[in-house]
Amino acid sequence: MKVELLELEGDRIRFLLSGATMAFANGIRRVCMAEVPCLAIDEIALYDNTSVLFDEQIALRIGLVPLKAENLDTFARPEDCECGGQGCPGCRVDFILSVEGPGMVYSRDIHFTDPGVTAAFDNIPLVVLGEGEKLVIEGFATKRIGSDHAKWNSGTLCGYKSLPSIEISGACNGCGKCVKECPRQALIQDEGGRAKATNTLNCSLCKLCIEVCEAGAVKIIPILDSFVMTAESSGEMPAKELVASASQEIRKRAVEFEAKLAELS
Amino acid sequence: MAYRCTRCKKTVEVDYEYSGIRCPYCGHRILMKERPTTVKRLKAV
Repeated sequence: MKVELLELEGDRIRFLLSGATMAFANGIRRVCMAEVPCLAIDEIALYDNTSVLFDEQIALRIGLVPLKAENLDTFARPEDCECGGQGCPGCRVDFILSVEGPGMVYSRDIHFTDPGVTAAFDNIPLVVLGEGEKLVIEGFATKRIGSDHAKWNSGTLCGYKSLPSIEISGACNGCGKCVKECPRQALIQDEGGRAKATNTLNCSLCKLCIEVCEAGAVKIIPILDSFVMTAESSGEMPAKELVASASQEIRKRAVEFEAKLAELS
Repeated sequence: MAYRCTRCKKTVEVDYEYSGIRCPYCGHRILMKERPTTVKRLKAV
């Protein structure tokens, strides 16, 4: 298996995975989306809400705020915690939000008791408060996974495509139609006017070039063991850490599965 | 259960035995239910 980094930009990573099966690439994608644990606000206690929004709507909005934790590994999932899910500093982080209008309530107004935990983006608007309106909320955040609820999704945009191999046969008459048709600029014309593949990583396998080529000279074959993978985190962790955590999660499950099998025999 | 008259802003107790709703101070017929003083616990979903 080979991994080649194509692009890394904070929350977004793009890499070429070669020598792996599609099932493995899909496994990485699925785990990135729904199995990497992260923090999200779980329950709230409303002391005062004189804003225009219903309590339930505020609860929904506050729950969807992505949270960043410097010490995420120190937290346990409530069901795995020593307290048995009752709630302790090992599995939950308390917060308070107390704002009086007029003005907009932003995600930065959520103050956690643990200084290492903050909102991933400090400018997420929650509600507009008018003159004299108040919002006082207390609550706690827990560490869970995306399959429990979408608010614990660490990865937002995760996907992959097969790496294409673009072949131009000798039948190419140099009409240039395929070059004009390609929306991703994966083809150019060489000195002789013949089409030539230039940036195969950009090719989305739409096959428009095959449709317009009257001579039937273009062939696009997906390479079955190479994948261009893209992962974007919701801001809770850098994208590289997200993919690393996903592979650790797969490993953990494989080890657990192995242990269960050993118990059977 | 406490209600508040939208015109005179006074807290009003509603007499459930009387068929209509009316503010005993100003006679206004639109009353607002006050938010309970208890803490409301919700799942953030």
